[in-house]
Amino acid sequence: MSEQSAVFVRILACIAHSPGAERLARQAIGLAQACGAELTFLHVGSDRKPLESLIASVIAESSLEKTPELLDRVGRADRIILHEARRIGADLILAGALGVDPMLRELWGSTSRRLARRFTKSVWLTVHRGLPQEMARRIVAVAQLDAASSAMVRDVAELARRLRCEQMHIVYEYDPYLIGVTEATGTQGADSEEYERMADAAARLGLSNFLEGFDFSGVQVKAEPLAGKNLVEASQYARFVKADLVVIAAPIRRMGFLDRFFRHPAETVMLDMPCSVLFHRVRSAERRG
Amino acid sequence: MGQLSHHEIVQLLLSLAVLLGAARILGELARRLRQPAVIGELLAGVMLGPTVLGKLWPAANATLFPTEGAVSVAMHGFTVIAITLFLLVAGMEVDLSTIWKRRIAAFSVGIGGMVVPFVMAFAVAWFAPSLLGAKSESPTLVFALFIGTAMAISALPVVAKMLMDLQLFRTDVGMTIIAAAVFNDLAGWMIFAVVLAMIGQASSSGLEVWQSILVTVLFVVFMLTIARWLLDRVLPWIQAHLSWPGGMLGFSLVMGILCAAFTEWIGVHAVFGAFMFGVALGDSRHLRASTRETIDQFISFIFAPLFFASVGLRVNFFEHFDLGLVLIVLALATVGKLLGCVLSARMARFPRREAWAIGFGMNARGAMEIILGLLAFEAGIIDARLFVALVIMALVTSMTSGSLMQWVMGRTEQVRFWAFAGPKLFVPRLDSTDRFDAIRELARVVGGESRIDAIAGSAVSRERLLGSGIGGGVAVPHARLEDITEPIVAVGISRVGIDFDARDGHPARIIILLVTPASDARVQLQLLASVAAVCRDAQTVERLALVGSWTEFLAVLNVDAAAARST
Repeated sequence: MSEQSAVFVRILACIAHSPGAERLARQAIGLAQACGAELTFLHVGSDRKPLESLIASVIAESSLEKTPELLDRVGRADRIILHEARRIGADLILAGALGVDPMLRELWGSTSRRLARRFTKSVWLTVHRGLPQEMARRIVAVAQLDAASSAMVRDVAELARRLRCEQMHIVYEYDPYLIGVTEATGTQGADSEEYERMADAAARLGLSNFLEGFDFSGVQVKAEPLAGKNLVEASQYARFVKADLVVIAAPIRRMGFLDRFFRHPAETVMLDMPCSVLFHRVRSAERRG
Repeated sequence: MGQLSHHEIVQLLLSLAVLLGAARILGELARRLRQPAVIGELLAGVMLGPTVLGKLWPAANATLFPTEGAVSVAMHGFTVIAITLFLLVAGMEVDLSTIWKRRIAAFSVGIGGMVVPFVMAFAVAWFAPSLLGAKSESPTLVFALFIGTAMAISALPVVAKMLMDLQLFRTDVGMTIIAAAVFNDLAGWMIFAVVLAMIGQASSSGLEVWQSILVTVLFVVFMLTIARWLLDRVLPWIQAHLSWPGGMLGFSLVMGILCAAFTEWIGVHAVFGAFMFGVALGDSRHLRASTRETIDQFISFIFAPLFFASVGLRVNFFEHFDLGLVLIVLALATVGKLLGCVLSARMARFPRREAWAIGFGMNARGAMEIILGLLAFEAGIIDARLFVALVIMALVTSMTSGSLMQWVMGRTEQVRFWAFAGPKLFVPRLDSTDRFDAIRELARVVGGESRIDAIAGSAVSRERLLGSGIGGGVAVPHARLEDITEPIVAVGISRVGIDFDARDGHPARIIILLVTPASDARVQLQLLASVAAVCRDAQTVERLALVGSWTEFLAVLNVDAAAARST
């Protein structure tokens, strides 16, 4: 793999004694292989032996050249994971979202959500509700037609190529009244059907313009504009196409109370979790660039 | 006693029917004239009220709309419910995330649009109270505070309706105006509560002014946090277990009215509670578009016209009319508001055109001004002449702000796609039956053999990712080129229809290839809007699909475009 096109360079996979541990280990190893990335496992808790043997058996089946390190730490899970991720310079945290009871999650919060909000690089929350072993057969990338989405689409296309995904969907969720049709064309007063049709056509145009120049060779791509807001429709679309991964461009900062209060789109997807979700953040080198 | 007599019930129902009917008819007429419907609805009240019908046929006016008695009270109750429910819908349309994105602009316009007119009006009322017809027995400070508030307040319901009518509600401009108007209203009613407290008028709760303000702030915080969270969890249950749309509609109205009752009780105004509930409800990701649409239709087409028409019933404009005072009030209100809002909007980096649109939008005073004036008149702060002047100012600003906004926003240069096409770029019978071949066929007429690959390559690669069928039998494939300065448009007619992956599934019979300069994204959108506007009528598309030459194509466009403009 060429270093230049590496999607992820250093991955921290959080593993626990859970029914999804083996699947997560396989996915982490598969992803590290596909990206040529360095992989480290982290277990928060005691009794590492069973996990060691689990990882060893998965590695034995793979062609991974270097055996990943398994770290074990004791303490509050989210703090330890974030600390270790920063210490080893990870640009991706891979963690399971176990789907705790919604009421308990509201009361106690969720470790996976805290990771997604607080880590300033990418976070992949994977669910394992009866899904096959492949990480991403059908990917839905949610683009907002901005610079962050541009970097995300480029990385996801590369990832889709390496993971040999069946289909990559690129959706653009637009608010019909906020895509500049009225301001650009002076069409206020148009009836709603005419306006919505015009907004849809404008969204198609915007998305087409945005996708110009990307390299989608070797990937089956379908683009779709969706009328809606706060990524509610994008989540529905992911369910409709039976996606196993949704990717969104998350802000390159810690997400806080105001993001929850004003419903940042990443928050909607995080609450909904239609399938595994990758909160993509641009790499620091690109940010500096 | 205690209930309406048979005669009064007939009278009330007749009044409601006449008022609603006139409001709907004039509202539709205004819409046909591409004006906000609220203008027609306000005019309906003026026509049926003491100003016109009361002069021409006083007996009919007195029978239909009595100013006292049980029917008048019942009618007033209806209008209070109507405006409360309308504010519920206006609240549902507010998008908190958009307001947050425009927070600096909204705050800046809100402050500017409040402070500048307040200070100007306060200064005039303080230093020259007689100019505004102050009553000698009324304390100057109270009078000046009232005038300042009256000039600073915006009419959230009128502004909301006007923006909805103009399809501007959820644009950046619209959301900035709404956020600023919410701020203005909140601050305005707070100051007015202080004014009422200074002259001994208190809320029915018996709360002190500072207590009312504190409770209002707590109510806002509660609605935007805990109530939002609760609604987000309750809505799925309601939608799953109660009948649709009755269950959802009932829940929304009950809760909206309860919140309205609460804010009225603490002395702010009923509309504010309904508005805040609407904000919390509309923010839920579980509120389906169809539910939103049902509530919106039910209220916007029944209750809102009823309220706006009722505004014109309240005053007789001929009695107590003082032209000089009306002009002074109008100038003071308009200059202060425009100055404050336009400057603030410019400081918030809005383009000049949009800054003026914000100024005109915020200038609408409407019902809030009338309610404010009525309360001040009843409290003895102002006399009848000033009350009439305030009402006229409210009506004039409400009736003109929509048109002025539309005028300012509508001054975009109209681009017609056929201006960039021509006989050499017209293919009356496309041979292709496949969309990619059709694009190549049109690319050939645009660029000849030498440039066909550049044009078709760009258009086809875009088409592969995303179909360009816009529905109704029309497709608009597009390509962008670096080395052109003017758009080029090629038009092709397919007799059999070609699948362009349109959302409605219909094959395209008219294919319009847009080739635009890479650096000009705006012209792309304008050309597309021009295509969508012409092809919105199925009969036009049918006629266009049957033409045999460019001249015939042009003839259909010109005739249908003229017909569309005339309607």
